[in-house]
Amino acid sequence: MRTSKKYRVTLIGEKDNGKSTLLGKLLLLTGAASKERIDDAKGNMFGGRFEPAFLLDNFSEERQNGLTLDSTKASIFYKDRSLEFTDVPGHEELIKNMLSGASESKAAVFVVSANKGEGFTSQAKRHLDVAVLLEMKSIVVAVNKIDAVGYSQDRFNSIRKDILNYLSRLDFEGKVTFIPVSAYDGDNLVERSKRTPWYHGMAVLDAVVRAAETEKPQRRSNRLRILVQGEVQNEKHTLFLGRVCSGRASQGSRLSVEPGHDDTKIAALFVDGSKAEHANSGKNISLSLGRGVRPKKGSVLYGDRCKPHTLLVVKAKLFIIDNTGMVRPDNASIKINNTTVGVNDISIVKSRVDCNIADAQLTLDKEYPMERFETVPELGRFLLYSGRSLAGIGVVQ
Amino acid sequence: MNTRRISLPDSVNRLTSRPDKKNWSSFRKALPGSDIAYYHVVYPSRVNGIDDLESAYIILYDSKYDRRFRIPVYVKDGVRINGALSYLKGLSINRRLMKHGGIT
Amino acid sequence: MITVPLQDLGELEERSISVLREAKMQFKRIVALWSMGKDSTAVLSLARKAFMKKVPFPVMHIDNGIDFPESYSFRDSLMEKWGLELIVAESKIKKELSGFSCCGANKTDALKKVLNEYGFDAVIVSIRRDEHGIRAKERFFSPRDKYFKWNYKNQPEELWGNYTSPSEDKSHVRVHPILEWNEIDVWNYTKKEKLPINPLYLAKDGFRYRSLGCTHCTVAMPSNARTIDGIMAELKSTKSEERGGRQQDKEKAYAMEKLRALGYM
Repeated sequence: MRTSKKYRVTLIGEKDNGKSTLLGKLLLLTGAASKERIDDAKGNMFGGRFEPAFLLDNFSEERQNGLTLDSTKASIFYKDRSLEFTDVPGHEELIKNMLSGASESKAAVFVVSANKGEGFTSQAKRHLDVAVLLEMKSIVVAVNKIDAVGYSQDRFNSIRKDILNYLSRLDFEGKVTFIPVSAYDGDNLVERSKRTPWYHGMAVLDAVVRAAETEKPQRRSNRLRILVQGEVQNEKHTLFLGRVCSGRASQGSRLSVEPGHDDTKIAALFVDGSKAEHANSGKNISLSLGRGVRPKKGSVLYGDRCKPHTLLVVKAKLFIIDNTGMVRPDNASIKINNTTVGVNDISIVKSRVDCNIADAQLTLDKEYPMERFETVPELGRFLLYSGRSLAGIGVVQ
Repeated sequence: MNTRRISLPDSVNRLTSRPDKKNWSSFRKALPGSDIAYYHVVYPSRVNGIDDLESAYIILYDSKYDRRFRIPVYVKDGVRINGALSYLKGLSINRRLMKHGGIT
Repeated sequence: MITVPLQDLGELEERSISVLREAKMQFKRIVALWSMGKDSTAVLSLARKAFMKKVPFPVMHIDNGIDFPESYSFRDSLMEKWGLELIVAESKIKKELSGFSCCGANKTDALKKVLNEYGFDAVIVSIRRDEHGIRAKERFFSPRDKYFKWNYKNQPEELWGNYTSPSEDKSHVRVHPILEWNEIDVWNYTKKEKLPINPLYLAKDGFRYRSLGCTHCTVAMPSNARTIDGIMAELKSTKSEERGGRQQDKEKAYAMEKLRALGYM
């Protein structure tokens, strides 16, 4: 049985722009919603007409209020590919939930409304900010409710221009495609619609497939780095639990531990509980280490052909959730791979008007192993906290 | 101490009149030596509580799928009542009784 | 007709192992719920991969006494084979409850009691997103407050492998290692690892069980799938959702949501 490649796609966009309707309609048109799911959605309608969005909005509160509370995932299998869509909340207060849902995708469908009084608002911009920060390689912009503006090509072009301008201010490097749609009626979702004869591009589903397959040229490192997750006692020995972030670990590999500059080597390597000679990038491993070295959780073990790399001052691109306050340095910390590191200072190097992404410099309270996001993603992305609440997210430049 | 194993029919009788832990244990000991292979649980339409568990029952079948005995579903210890299906370990459900739409 | 594709097991396994390891590092007293079904058994097998072929925490069966005898046998034999530390928590079948609520609420009470008694701060549960619409919103680490309620509107952020930590205002945290697995992936894994499986899953005399609840709530489905390959082939070409054989799911989804918020599933 063949394995289909899974592509993760996030739907982003402001509340009421029609994300859930779009995804719900796609599920219906492609037959991806099971009969049970449809009946179930119909059965809990509380009166009123059936909305495709009901297929996604699972909580009765959501259906009653027409509001998505948290991310929902739904899969569509199309042209031999598995497309996993995450529908995230568009409501301002739920941006935390939005981040959680969006963080794993490489491609986004940005739903913006063509309707008068809606369009590319400042709240909508924040959604695009996140897509750019998360380095989504490709964005499909669905200009929705095109029926409400009489399928107007002018209106479509005007929104398209606004968005392109904004993206260039953010130094967005990926691909972007614009499609006029009506999520409720299904225009240009799976097939091209006759009602927009001036539009000659792809329909959304095909555009999504193409977007998901766009690969930016990789600049990933293949030198050995192991992230330490913890330790366990096995009979009388201490074994360290870790994951190979990059490169290949081998029995006998010489390692350098950061923070701390200790040297050690892999005395014994275990994969899935059994002794192994090698372990490739992505694998979880257990290690017994020589010289009595005891790396703490969050440490990184560097192979001998890899220069150990710790930072005290971190240059990062930050997305700040709350655009009214500044993150106060005496209260700030970052969380990376479940390890918290204090932040003594944050200075903004470059901010952009009307935008939540800033280039910043963070001074940590101690040196910590981190890398540029594009080289070793696992070691280059972090959450920014102000006290105990999430203030933003960052990627290391 | 009485170490003689009682016969299955005897243990079933005891169980039916008094399904306590002791009688379930005797039943459990008598089971391996017998030809009983399959079970089928009959519930009243809803198991709402203690009363209903008492009106449910189990039919036991031999390896030829012939119906042999009928026993309770529950074990009663003083005031506490619980399901007793763990005492039927080793038996398999009788699927020949299932219809489309299934019954347990 | 949709075909359900397989996901890459390698990726799924590594994520699950990571989640299990993180839970072990963060929480002091963990317990894993085990229903002897394919999902919870797969989770125990993943724990053995994560922790040097041992399950380093106790495993709990919430038992209402009317599970299938085959499940009880399976429980005992796997417990021995894998050296599991098993806790059986008895749950009573309550009055005034029926169908769905029966399986849910009486297990909730048993769970509450055991968590308090033993002081567990994390519970490993084998739910998957594809099982039911509402589960589509779960997180890998999902806190429950001291009333066991799930505050689904205000879930903690979960990004980039960063999960919720213990804290005083939580009663316990639910850990969901196989959240991203689909039904067919669990079977694929079971086959690959040659895991023991509960005989109820395989067809005999034209019927098999797709998911296992207790003898009261679960109905069998017509099938000739006598092997895992057979099950997977049947799954590839079906639209009927997995829990369709369990009467409880035919009841209102609203009730389920209430129950989730209350705490068992």
